[in-house]
Amino acid sequence: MRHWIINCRKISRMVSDSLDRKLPFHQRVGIRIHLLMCRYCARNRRQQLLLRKVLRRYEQHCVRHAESALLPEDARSRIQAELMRHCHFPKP
Amino acid sequence: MHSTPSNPQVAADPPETWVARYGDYLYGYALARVRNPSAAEDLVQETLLAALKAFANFRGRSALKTWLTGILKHKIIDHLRRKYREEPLQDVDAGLAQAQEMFDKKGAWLLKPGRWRADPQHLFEQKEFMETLFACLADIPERGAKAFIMREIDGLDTREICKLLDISATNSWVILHRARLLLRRCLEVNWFSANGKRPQP
Repeated sequence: MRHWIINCRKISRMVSDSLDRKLPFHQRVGIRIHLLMCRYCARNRRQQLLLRKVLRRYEQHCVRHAESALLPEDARSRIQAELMRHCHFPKP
Repeated sequence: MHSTPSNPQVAADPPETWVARYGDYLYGYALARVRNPSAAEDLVQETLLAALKAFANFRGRSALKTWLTGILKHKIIDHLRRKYREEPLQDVDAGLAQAQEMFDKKGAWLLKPGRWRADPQHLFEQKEFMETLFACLADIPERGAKAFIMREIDGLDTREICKLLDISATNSWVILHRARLLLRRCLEVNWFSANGKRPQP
């Protein structure tokens, strides 16, 4: 068996890479074989995928929230004033 | 100061209209992430001032709203890092300076991943879990945390992350790998196996 297939550190790196790009065929097969034998690497992969799901939901929640909240009036005028104070843009 | 776009083709909204047009959106977005109205207001202000400074570089490749939201996201990360630095986590991983220490010389797990009983919707709905997650992110090396947030929350691909953090592709995979290992470990210690904090099955 190829050495890297039994190395959890290398497998965890490939599992991470697989979340960011498409891996070559032999690496995908290597990961599969390793995960069948190694429950810790299998857990690590499952947990990484779980975190991804949680964070995607979180981002969707932030965007939904952004579409409904209102900047309080006093903050609005304060920020507007601050913005005007910092810029001397020419009139169009 | 160059506060107007140097490219005359860009017909972006002028800065004096930003608060009126994007203030609510940015505020709502920030509020959802930081859950503190006055911090969210400050973030909107910081974002618009930073945008004003950088406006000369805005080329209209993305919509102004997207561009402003991008700046806001960076400000939020900085804010969360400052916030959680002041509230240190349990010291369990003090000796774990590098993710490499999770494995022995032969590459076998030294800190074996435990079992998590969790479902994504349930976790997401627990405010304390999300807080623990961001506290963990504040605790891992800065570029790793930023890259991770860009990848997993903002949904950027690694090519964009490389540009934003000024690193090579290989580097981005290395730091994302480390960030993921450290985050997994931190959550396991501070949430999934922490007494009294374990989510109900």
